[in-house]
Amino acid sequence: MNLREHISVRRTIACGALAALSLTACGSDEEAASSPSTEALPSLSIADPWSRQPADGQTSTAMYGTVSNPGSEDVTIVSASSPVTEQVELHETIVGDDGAMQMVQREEGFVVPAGGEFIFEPGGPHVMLIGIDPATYPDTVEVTLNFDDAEPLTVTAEVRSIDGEMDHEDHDHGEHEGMDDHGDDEEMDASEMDHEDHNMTDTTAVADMDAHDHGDEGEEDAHDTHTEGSAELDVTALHEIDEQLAAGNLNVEAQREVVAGYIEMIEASHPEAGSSEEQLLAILHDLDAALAAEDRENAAVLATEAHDLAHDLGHGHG
Amino acid sequence: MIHLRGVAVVCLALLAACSGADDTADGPAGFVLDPAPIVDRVALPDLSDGGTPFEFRAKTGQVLIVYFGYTHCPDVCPTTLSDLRIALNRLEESDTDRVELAMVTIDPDRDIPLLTGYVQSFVPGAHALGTDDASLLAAAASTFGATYSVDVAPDGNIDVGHSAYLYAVGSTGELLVTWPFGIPADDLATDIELLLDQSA
Repeated sequence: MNLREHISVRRTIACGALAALSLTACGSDEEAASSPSTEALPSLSIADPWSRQPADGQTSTAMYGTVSNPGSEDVTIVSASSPVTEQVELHETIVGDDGAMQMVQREEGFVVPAGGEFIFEPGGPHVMLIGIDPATYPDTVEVTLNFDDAEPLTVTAEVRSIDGEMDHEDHDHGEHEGMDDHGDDEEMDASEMDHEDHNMTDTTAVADMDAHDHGDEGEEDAHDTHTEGSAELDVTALHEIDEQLAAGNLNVEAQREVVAGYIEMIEASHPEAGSSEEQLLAILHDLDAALAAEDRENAAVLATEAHDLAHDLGHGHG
Repeated sequence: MIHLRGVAVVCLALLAACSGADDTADGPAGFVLDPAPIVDRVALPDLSDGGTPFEFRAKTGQVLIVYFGYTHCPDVCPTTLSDLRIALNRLEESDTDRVELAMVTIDPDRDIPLLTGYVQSFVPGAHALGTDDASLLAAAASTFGATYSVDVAPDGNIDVGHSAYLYAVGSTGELLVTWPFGIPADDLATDIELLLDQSA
């Protein structure tokens, strides 16, 4: 069941954590790490948050995902909450000597090690949502993880269908023509234990506009390549939005917040009329409008345009 | 309490045992017991068929898959049944039609009204087996080697534990293969195809 080749610590960098909060440019890891503002509470992030659509009659389900802690101190996940139900608990499944599996509530929470990850996964630790109605369980479920010593992390978890397929409608309707090829999702086994890094399912959390290692999709990370442009942008958050929208994940509030951050930065650099920066600004405004209108299709196209243009302008990933 | 790492170790040990049965590339990925236990000596009411007694035996040329679980299970049961559904989706349609699923509830007090809808959400046409006769349930489980416990905790919560295997049964009521929790859907699909070939 691959428990787990990718328990390896993700590369998370201090400047990524900063970017999560401020969306400011980050020139180099060292520079960011030495900044006094890194003393703020660490911002944890989650990759691949998901939950399974409950079957008829099933009144409790689970949420899974990989929580990353870019900070230098261990952080404990102490509780969780969700708008879909009042009863949300941290559980793990344990295996007895006789092979019987039993869930146990983790009153003491789960530790996310400094610079490392903690994995919620089927058959193991999970966030348990109790007292839900399968008939009204949403397509995406919001869960907030609370920590002992970090900002709460609100996660928008994708709800996968029972047969492990996802985004049927999106693909059937060809909404993402011209987008990156995310072909592997058609065969995605939501419930298999091998929990691959499906970037397209990174319905990353509100505070998570930062530090994911995109190397696992065969794309070169462009660290420290902010060589041009009047404002140095960390394109990672834009990349995340592009990915999310391509995957059909609309998270208006969080995505608009990020776009607003970019708009603010570019406006602050007073781009020249007719410049590519100004063009990027126009696209970002359109993207913001599309997000506000919950027009996922147009938002996806605009996010890709903005992402590509930002790269063309020489901006890289943080 | 066993820490996460303990769980991982146990799961890996299970898988190691399971892959040990697969030294010959031709064999199934699941466990094979020799001699095969006979599991069709106890019948349970089929809640999806008006309570008709259901015998744990595949129809000729088919494979019956059996699972002991409960509907209030948020993690293990849906994971297993979803993996089974994914595996069945990978088979040729003519093969899928030759596989039946029967789920036995180990939590009948809560599940009897719910089980048919529940299990058929995963596999249409699946059999929902349940009885409020505790000794009958125990007898059925013991033929498979399935274990379970349902306890009401002091705080009123109901704690359920159960072995989380999937079982494949042949047309003479013989236990063909036992799959541990976490077996990948691909392995499950391959094993089912193998069993169907053998039953044809």
